[in-house]
Amino acid sequence: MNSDDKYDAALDLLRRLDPAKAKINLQNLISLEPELAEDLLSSIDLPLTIKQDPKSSNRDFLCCDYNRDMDSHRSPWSNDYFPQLAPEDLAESPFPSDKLRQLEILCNDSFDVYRDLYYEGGVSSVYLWDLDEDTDFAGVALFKKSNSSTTNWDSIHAIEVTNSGNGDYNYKVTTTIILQLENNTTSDLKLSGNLTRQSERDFRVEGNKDEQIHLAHITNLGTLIEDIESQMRDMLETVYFEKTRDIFHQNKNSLVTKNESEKTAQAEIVKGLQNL
Amino acid sequence: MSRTRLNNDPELDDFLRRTHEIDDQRKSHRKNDLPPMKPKPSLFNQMNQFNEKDLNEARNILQDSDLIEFNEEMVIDGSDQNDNNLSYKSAYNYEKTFSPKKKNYSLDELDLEKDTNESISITNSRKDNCNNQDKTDDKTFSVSKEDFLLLQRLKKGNMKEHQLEKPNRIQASERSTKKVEEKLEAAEHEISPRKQTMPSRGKPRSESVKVKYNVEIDLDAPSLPARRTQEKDLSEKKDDNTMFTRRFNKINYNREEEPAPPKLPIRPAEHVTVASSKDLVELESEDESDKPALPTRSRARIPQEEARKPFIPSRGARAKKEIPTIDRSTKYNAVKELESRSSPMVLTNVAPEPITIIDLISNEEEEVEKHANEKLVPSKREITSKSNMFDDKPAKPESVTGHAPPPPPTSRKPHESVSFLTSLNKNKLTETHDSLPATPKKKVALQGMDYLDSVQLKSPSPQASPNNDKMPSPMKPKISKIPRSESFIDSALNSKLDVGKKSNTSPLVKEKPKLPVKPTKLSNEKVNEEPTQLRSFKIVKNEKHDIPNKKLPVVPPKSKLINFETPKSVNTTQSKDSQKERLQNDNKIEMPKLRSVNDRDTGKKQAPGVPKRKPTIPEALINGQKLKKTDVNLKGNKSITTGESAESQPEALLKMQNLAKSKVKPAVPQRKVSLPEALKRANQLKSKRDSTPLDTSTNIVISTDQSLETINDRLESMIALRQRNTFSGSNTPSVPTPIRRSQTTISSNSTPGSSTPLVHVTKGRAKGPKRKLPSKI
Repeated sequence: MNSDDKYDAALDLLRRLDPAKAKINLQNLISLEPELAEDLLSSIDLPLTIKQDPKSSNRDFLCCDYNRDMDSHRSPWSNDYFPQLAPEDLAESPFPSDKLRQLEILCNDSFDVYRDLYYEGGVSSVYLWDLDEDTDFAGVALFKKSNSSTTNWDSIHAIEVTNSGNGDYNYKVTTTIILQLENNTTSDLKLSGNLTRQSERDFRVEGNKDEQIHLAHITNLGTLIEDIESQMRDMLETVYFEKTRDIFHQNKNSLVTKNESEKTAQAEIVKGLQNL
Repeated sequence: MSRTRLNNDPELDDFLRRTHEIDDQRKSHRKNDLPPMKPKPSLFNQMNQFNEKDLNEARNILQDSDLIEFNEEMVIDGSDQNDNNLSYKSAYNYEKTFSPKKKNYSLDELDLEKDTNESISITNSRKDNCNNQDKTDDKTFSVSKEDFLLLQRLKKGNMKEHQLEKPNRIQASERSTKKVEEKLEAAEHEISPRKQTMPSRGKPRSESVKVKYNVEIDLDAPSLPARRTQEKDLSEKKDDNTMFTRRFNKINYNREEEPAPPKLPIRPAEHVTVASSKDLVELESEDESDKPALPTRSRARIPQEEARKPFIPSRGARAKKEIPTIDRSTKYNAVKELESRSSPMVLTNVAPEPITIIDLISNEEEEVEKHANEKLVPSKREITSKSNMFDDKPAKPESVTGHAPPPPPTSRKPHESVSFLTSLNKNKLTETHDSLPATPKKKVALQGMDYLDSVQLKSPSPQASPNNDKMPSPMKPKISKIPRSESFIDSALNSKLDVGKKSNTSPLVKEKPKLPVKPTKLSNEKVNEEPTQLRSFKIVKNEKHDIPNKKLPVVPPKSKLINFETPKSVNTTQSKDSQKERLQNDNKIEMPKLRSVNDRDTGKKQAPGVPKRKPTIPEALINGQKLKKTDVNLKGNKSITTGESAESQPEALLKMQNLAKSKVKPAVPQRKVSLPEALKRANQLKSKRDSTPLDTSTNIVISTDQSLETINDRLESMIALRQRNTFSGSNTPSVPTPIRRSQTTISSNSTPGSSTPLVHVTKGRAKGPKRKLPSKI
């Protein structure tokens, strides 16, 4: 069995396992196949965690596998890893280029506004990293809104921006929304799941200056993520809640049919008695 | 009522025991531990307001009787001793609620109403004087107004004794009283421990608090030195008298204002009463030999019973029977003297309260039973009815005439220690007897209606009230016969009997026909009768009033007057049965059932003739033939139109042809396809069907065509099919079956190639920068 097959099998398995226990299952799989650790960690979306950046007044930032190095996570605000790494490790740890860092800062600021407008709370973080081409870059935009430890909305937008030439850029966004709803106080209702969609769009970026290009990327990414999130939200609403509603109606209709059958049986009995 | 209390005896005993124990503990504790905390009464500063004469009088009074001290103490020092108050209140409240004796001395009976205003004014003035003792004012009311009033009366009597020194008293009685006083003084210390041991329940007010007061005096020597002096010398400490003067100044004031009542001979009874109560204890100790089982009770019984004897006429013989020991001793004479004395006798009644409630109830039950027996006798009823509220007056002299001097009757009224139950019984009896002629309506409702009576006689009771409005005279005596308050069970039984009688005989209905006897004149009276019946019918819905309704049509003169109606009546007679049935059916909602039953009954009645016809099979065949004939006729008509070939063809085909004509004609383009082409297409389709399992309707075909499938796949498909069949079979078996087949076929086709891997979008996305793995993994 090839590593690809193992990789696919692991992904299949994780798709079918409880999404609420994805982290445990992932660790178990990695323990089984350590070779797949890097791929699985990068391809499996886990619920986001929050850390504070002590260098930027303990501002919250989100942690995922993209901004992780060893056991530390890079803060988008101070561009440092927390907990701090050893200088040796830090030298090898990934950092965005200065140019991309500027874009990252702008993206964080702009998506923070977006987060404030759409989520009315929560935490957002954007991490970018360089690709092979200078004009290309990749990144991830993270949003998290949690009212409690058991109720989370985690949206992970993995972005790939490639320059197809002549000012045209291809934006490929792979969005994963992890929804986890639990209500332990009143009932044992749990509603959790992942929804992942990928979308691409091409934009023409006009401008020679980096600032203009950055602004164009931010606007393009922002509109793209905005559309995707709204669509994903609708999908979640239809997938999760409509399905539960269907189940609910099914149960209700079954009850109705049962009552109707009872009524018909009663009517038959009454007729039989009247005919006696 | 009395028996219900008897049922509660164990609880009462428990409560008594508890209270006794608590009181004993408290008293012993008090004796052992002197309360140094007691402050001096604030009244002590206000002593100068009062006269020395009053002081002396008060001292005299206080020396004579402890009860006065008790009351004063309770009034003044009540706030200082919360423990005593609590215990006293508990006992007092309990007695007030449960003990029937409490009503022996009501204000009405004791004629204390005269003095109530005075006493209240006294208390109020005392309140005004004693601004610092607001709490004690509450205590005055806790002592009960009757006691306080009695004490006031005693005080008055004593005061007038000492001041006026009237010679009206009988010296012998004075001597006896003095003797008794001496005995009391000597025996106080002896009896006091007994009293202490005795529970305060029987007479919580007097004795228990007396002991408290004595103890308090002993303990509160600095605070209340005057009382010690009173005990020792009256004349020595006049300064201390101010306290008591202040207490009694208003009593004297009122006494001065009011003329001396004619009850003055009562005065020595104060001494005698207290003494008698205690002497009687001694006597009772002797009497206790007769009744060893209840030593404590006998002590209390005697005075009560003695007090009761003269009052109740019927008890005269019984009381003698009950208390023969009293006749033995000379002290019985003293007791009778006490009885003869009007107001202080109340104290005797008050003092011996420690009678247990059981004894009271037992005695009262006996009394009640005897009364009940007496009630049955009309002569005694008359006596009681005459005496009702005032009957005890003549009754007393009957019993006492031989023994005691004739005291004024008015003064004896307060002495009446009639128990609560007896008084109630008497009242009820008297009320009923007295009220029967005079005020029947209201009293009928109030008199004999015990609880069970009221419950069981709910139905007649509403009848009685409206009927009484119209016909009071006949109805009332019957209702008055209802057992009154004789006993609970008797009343219940009698009520049941009455109810049974009423249910069987319906006395109300019986009485009504009696009324028409009176109005024998003409139609006007009949008209008056009819509404009464109708009204009664309206009021009483459940009872059988069909009889009067039937009687109404029976009225002969109407039928006689109108000759034309006679044939109508014949018609009605003919159809009476049918009308009755109709009425019954109208009353019953289930009309169809009854009719069906009647039909069946009629059918059953005709049944002997029916079985001849019963060969149902030929009938069915005949009907079938008839049906076929009709069909044949239709076919024949159609066949005439269609042609000869229709004979062999069934109807459906003929109809299909008729339908096809309309449909086929527009479907002409099908004919455009030539037959050979159609055949070719049909062959192609057949070949395709043979090649593919999709067209097959069975799973077997699927398995045959898919020879490559493994056995497991086939099994899975079969299991899935069966499961789906079973699942869908519950709902609707017919519809989903084709869907299943198509699905199964599709799934069977797709199973080999359906292992399309899941598309993992995240697999192809950017994997991020190169980074090291976390250490945890």
